Amino acid sequence: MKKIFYVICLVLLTVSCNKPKEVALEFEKDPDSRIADTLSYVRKMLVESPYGWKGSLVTEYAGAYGFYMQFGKNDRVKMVADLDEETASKEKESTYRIRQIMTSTLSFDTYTYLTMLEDPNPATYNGQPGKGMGSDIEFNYIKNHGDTLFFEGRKFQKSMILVKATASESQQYLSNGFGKSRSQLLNYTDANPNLYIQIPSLESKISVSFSDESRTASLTYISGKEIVSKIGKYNFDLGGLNFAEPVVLGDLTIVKAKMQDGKFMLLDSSNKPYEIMSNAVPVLPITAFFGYRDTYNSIQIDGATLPGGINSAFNDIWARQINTYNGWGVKMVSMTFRLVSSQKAKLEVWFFVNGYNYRVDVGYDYIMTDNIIKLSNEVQNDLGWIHSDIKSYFKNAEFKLDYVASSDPKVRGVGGLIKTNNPNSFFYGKLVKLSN
Amino acid sequence: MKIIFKLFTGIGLIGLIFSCSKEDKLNYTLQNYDTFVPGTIDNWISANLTDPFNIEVIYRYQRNMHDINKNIAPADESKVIPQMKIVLKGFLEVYGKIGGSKFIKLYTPKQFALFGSGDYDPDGSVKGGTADGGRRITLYGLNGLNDNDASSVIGNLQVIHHEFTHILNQNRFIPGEFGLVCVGDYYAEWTAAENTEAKARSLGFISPYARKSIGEDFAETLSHLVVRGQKFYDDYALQSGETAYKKFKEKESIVRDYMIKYFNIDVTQLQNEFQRVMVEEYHSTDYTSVMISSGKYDPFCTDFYTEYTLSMNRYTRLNSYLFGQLTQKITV
Repeated sequence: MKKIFYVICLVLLTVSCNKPKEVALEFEKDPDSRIADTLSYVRKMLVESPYGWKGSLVTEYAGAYGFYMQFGKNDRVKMVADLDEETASKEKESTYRIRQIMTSTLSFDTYTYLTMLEDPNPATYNGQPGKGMGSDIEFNYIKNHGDTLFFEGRKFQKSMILVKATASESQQYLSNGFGKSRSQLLNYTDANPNLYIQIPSLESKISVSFSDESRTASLTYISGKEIVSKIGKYNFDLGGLNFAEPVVLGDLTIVKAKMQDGKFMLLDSSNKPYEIMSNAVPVLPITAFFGYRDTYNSIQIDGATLPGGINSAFNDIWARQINTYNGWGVKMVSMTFRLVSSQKAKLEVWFFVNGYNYRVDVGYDYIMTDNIIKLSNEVQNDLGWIHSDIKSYFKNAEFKLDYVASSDPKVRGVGGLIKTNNPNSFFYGKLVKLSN
Repeated sequence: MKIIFKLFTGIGLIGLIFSCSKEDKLNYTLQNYDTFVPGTIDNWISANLTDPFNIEVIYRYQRNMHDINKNIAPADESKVIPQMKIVLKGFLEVYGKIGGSKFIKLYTPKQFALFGSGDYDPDGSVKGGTADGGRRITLYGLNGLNDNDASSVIGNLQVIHHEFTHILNQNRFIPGEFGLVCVGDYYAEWTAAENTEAKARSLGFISPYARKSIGEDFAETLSHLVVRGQKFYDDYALQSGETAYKKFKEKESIVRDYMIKYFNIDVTQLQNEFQRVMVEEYHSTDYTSVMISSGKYDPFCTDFYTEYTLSMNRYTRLNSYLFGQLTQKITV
């Protein structure tokens, strides 16, 4: 019996190592060959697009940026970008690499326009020291859809989208296409102040502003008593802008902006246009922004010259003040009407004489109802440095606070105190916020 | 029966030998899917650095070559060869000539990693380079390099020589007495506002950065001696006041001893060779005044040093005499 037991043991031993070696693969192939497939797919796609790729890249600390790239077989990539005039007009060649880091990754591994956004040196492209614009140089491949490849930055996880370009697009990008779109927008915003749009679902006009420095557009409107501001990140493409991070206004999503027949349009996701219009003064009521602790609390005349292109009865009074100063050899630095607290206001003057700046002021109590400001209880601390005509202009006066339009489109952000009994007479200057 | 049993056992044991050899070879080839394509820069590097010195240059961005929490820009291709030429001429060949080719091949860092921007620290300082484990030197800020500007080249080499000193220190420890010269004055938070150059100098440090630690102090001392030259070092020491001067000179002699004792390298010869390269290759005018002859470096300074303790009067007199002489020499 015992012996049979031994024999069985031995027989068992001989077969003991015969274990099944096949692994059931969840996705048909093992991970290694799957990553190899992806890598060669991404490479093949990038290299074999005959007219290259157009794309956009979103950054963490600024807006979005547009690129046009051509990938070569020899690890080299050529690109133009919408960063500035040079990057738009001069092609830059550098290396790229597709390899597995955590997943299949496209990296721009020598210096090029795209890496300027990542550069921690502020001198390169005005990024934050040590942080740049919050961008990446290594991008994980996420997915493809039709002619589009989707990547995501490894560190900041912002999206980079590359779309196959056509022959004519390629030719346009390489002949300063980005530069043309950019100067088109810059020229337009220079010539047209106080942009706004209107959409059916909102009662308020929506003020629109573009920042070339941060590549963001802000759309601001009033909802009830609240000021709502929506920020979108845009990059340039051929003939316009593309919102790589769109702006959502209620039920519509703004995705593009374009010049069409001399009009500047925002386009929503269903390609419906909203014409951008220009107004002489900002479209949102000044009362929403002006108060002793609001966006603006002061109206300031900077230097001896009033903002240009505006006619007011105050111009003569101001000229008298400046003439007096000129006679004394004194330089006007600034005159400011400011709200100091919920009840106190000040007319403050800085002037420069004998190498020093001095300050004097006249104090008032004020009551503000809607946009009417009533001054009372004048307290003169000006030692005669403010012209008596100006003092009497303000003494116990009643003003309507409003924006002031100028005939010069470059003069913007001017606010005024308009005499309620004479609409042609107003004190005016730049709207500013001074710390109290 | 017993025989049968033994027989079975025998067969069984033989069977055991084969039992596990069921064609278990791993049917798998590890592949490198990184299809790296070498270009002209790569060919230049292998001809000039990899073949003769076994040095690898990583100029294409790899995140694992720097602190992964930082944002650092990749190097511009156009700066790679100029940078490595500087390394070759101002560092490898200088040490190779003075220390011997065996020395430089043994101790040179085997890996250079290049990055385009500086390495920004949260305290606002910007690192120009690091040395790791005696093997790698990482150079930052390549995109700002201008190899037509001698002072830019010298600044760059200062970093390389500084980092190489760390590598030497990682092979042979810094002598204990070095840390005693300025004991108590080291200051880890060296970027603090109160650590001005004047303050560091009055304590006997060649730069505010040298105050950071003994290791940095040593590296700053040797790299200033070699890259800025003896005249710079002596002038700097001399104008730093009596107590500081002694410390400067003491540190210098420890550094010189260290180099002779462990590596049989005369720092003076190193200085001469370095200055020759800078003048001939990069048209530097930083060393025109005193080209140091061997052994005794600056006769004024050595004389001065012996007399030094005698009186403060003499110090001032000699000092003005000395600088009169030096200024004249510079204009020659």
